[in-house]
Amino acid sequence: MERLPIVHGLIRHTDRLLVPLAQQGWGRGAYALRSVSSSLRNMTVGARPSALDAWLAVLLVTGVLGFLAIGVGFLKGHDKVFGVEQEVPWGVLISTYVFFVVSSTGVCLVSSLGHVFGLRRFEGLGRQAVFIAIIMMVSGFIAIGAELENPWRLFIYMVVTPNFSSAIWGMGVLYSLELVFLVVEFILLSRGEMARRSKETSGPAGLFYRTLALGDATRSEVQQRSLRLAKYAGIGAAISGVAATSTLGAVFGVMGARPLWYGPFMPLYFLLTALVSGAAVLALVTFLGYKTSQRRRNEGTQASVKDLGNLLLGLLGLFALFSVWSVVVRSYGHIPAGYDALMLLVRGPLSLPFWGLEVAVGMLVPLGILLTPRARTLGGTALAALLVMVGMFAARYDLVVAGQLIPVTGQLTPLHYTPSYTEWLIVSGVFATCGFLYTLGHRVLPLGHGD
Amino acid sequence: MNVSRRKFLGMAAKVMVGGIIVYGVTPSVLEAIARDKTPQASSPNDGKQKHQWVFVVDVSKCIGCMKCLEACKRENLVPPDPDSRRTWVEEYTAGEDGAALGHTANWGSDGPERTGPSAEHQEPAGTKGFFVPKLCNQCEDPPCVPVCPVSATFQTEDGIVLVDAKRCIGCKYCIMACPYGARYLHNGTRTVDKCTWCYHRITKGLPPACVEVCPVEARLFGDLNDPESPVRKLLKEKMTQVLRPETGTKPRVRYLGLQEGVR
Repeated sequence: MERLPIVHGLIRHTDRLLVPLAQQGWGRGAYALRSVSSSLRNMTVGARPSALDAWLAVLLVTGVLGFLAIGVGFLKGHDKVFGVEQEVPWGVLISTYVFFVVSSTGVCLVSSLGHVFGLRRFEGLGRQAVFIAIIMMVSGFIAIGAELENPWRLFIYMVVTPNFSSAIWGMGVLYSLELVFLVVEFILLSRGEMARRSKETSGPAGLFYRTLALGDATRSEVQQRSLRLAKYAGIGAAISGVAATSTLGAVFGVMGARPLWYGPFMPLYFLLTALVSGAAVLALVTFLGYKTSQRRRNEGTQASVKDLGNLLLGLLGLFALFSVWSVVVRSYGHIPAGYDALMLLVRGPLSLPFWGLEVAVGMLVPLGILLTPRARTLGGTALAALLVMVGMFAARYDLVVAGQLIPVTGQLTPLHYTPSYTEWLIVSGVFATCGFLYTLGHRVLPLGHGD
Repeated sequence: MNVSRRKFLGMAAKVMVGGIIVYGVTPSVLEAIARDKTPQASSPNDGKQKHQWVFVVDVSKCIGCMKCLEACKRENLVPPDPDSRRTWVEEYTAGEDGAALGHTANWGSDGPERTGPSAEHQEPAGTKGFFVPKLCNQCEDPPCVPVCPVSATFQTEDGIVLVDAKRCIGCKYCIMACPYGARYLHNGTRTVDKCTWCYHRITKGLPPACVEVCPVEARLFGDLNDPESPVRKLLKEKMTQVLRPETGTKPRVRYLGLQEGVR
């Protein structure tokens, strides 16, 4: 099989740059970088060239554009290039953050049905699911990092002057904790495979796998112990994930000044939607694995997609019920800003993303597909899952934006928010980064069941 | 490994309980401890506080000259754009049913009537109208303080809510939490900023800048601990109201002559 020309080309150019540097006395550093790049080249051997190559190129360019946009945002100031303004300070970057981190926890929870709770039909999700949870979490962190005005201070003052009563503090700590558990779980789950690969490869690639194998992990009792420990890490990830996601719900739920968000409903709503997104993401990637990998083109994968489809159907039904009641309940009583904010969604400026994307694309069509036996093929299930994700992205946006548009001051007319191009560039960059990491992960890490 | 439904539910329950313990219990315990160390603003008249500052706005006197806005921007280096504001003046006219309708354009920074009411609320000449100056309420129970993840915003012992700009990460959660819209993002420092009742002046015995420039005494400021304070006498004589009492924030800005429909 051929090597990936794009990655290959990049590496070749890096090599050209690094060799003279090394010769001019930049010495070890340049050589070390060079050996990393050549090992990357070794690891990326064996993909189907053209289609994957174009896919990676698109992701790379979009990702780079996104990061440039983040840079522009910080250099010029968010007030200059973002659509958010004084009265509507949270925009599409916040909703994108919510979309990613909640989905990440959902993936973690749904996959732990197999490798933590031991439901056999979900066991095949293992390593790949944990990896996806990690990269979705990282993607979410990029989105919120781009939105905060001074993100670097977060690392200092969350520790130096923490505020335990702040839901954002709790959310930050718990998601970080979940991420640590997920990374530990992933490494423990992959030790044996990493050890096998480190035997097969040499040089920096070998070192890479040897490091991830945490030393000698070829003996089966070592591997068994790792898998047992991985289960505990998985339980840790699930617990911190449940806590983190419900705390993110509380970030909105405790806002007495924003009636659309206020109340104990939010943490539960976030947990439920996490499970919906998790089932959808896993159905989608399992289907992708079935389509793109010879090894996974088997009945086990088919059954897996089917099971995830069942799970998605059940959760989606519950989500639809939640949505119906949240509209109905809020339309009674006319709680001042709560009712007004709901009306923005139901028959105001947000009615297109609400009825069109959140309800029709994200709920009704997927429910239709999953309930119709003829439509519910493997591809149909994957399509339903994709639509659910689109709807979920819109649902995050609707919730975040609608909650802010009713002014808290004496202004009579609702406020407006339209994301700027810079914001959309960042959002697409975050999606591309996630896709790039996913593709790269499939090239260099053991993600599949039999990989 | 395969598990029974009963075992699965058992494990699911443990995860839920674990989640509740990790977030639900620990921080609240920690918070209780933290609260023990930092005394909250004590209730009025217990004599412990050095100052009991109070701000009074007399709606019936305000003529909408907007001198307060200019003075505030100069005094506190507030960026010139109208959306950056520590204080602002809302303009109301009476609707057909007599209730007040707000239609503030640019927070009053264009001056009264210069932009005119918006087309939707075009009122016939001679309709009743009035101005409502607004600023930070320095709430006794400020909803903005407990939400800050890095404790960048806090309440001083004499009850003023301040922002430590050096710590602010710019998450804007406090802007969300304020039911009065009193906070904004300072585009120069990229941190959240708000009215401090000119803390740097009042701690030296001077009135806030907006109070000093008001030509009609629509803005009044004083210390209830000072027996000679005119504001103290005024509050004894007249009934006052606060904005949005239903939010439970216990605002310290008292309004005279506030009308129905002002929020």
